[in-house]
Amino acid sequence: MADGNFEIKIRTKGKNPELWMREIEKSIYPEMQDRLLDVAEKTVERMRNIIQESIKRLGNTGTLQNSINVDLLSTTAGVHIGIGRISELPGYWEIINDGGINPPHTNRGFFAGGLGLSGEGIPPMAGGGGEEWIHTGSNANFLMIPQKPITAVGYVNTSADELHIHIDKAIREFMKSVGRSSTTGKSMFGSTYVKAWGTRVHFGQRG
Amino acid sequence: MYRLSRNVEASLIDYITTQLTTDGWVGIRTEKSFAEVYKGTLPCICVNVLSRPDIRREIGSDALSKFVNIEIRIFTKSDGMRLDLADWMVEHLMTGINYYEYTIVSGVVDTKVLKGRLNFLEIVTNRKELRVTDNVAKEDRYRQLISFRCRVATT
Repeated sequence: MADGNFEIKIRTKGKNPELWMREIEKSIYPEMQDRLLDVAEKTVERMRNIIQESIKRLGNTGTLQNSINVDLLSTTAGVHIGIGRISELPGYWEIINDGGINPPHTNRGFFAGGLGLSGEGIPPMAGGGGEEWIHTGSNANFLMIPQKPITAVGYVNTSADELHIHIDKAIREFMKSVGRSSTTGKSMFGSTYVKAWGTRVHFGQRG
Repeated sequence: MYRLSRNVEASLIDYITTQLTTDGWVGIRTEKSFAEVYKGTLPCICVNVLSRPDIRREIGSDALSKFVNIEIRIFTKSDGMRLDLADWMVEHLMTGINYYEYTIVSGVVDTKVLKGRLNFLEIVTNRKELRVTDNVAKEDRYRQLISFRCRVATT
């Protein structure tokens, strides 16, 4: 869905580069990893809030919000963090994010307040007043044919934008705590005094 | 009179509509409302200003450097057309477009005055939307999202 790639560069002066790199590997790297995981957790929290704020209909179960989690995918040559494993997300996660019309074959049920289940022969209410949708599954009741598209909530895009800001902040704080100045951006090849770590945050990973 | 965000949307719609005709594209609608896309025929282009992350031009100044994040959604009838239109869009927009201020009288555009340039600084996203959903509506089948970070340079 969306990728964020970040590189952290640290420079040193007056120290043997090899010794210095070992020092980095031992102490600084795990600390930075913890900080980035913390940022990822905050991003998930932000995603959940954006989804929650977008809800217009009663009876929300929280399925989408609760299925978005953080996975630490790899710590080799950087940190690869995954947010929201697709196999664990409900099928409609992408429609909510990007907007569109939810596939109608999945929407069998009735609106609470209607008489759909009572056998009176009166069709269920249209649900235009924000009534709760009771989902009954594929073998019963009424097929809801959406008349309006869902407007894109954009929880992935919005969180990804904000993630950049939080990661830059985390890097600045981290560099301050270890007493070094830093820059972020593309690595400078050919310099032994520069150690670059790749940090990758991936939204909506498969598997 | 429209304010900045709507001026950006209207300038962009004007530019896209004109350029589509110039380049020989036929029957492509340009909308700024997501719901309107589903009320007409395909293909369609939907333009939205997503946010305005303005910053102060300098410390102590009330003047702002005006930035806008723009989302352009392309709804087409085929994957090929989706790719072609997306590439066409990027090729045309990255050189920047004119920014107009619109005056509205009785709900319709009365005048538009050239007030600067809309510079497209970077492409934030350029991807196919709804890749994993099966049996989606025909409007959602071949969709592309392109989002840009832009700066409005006013005279």
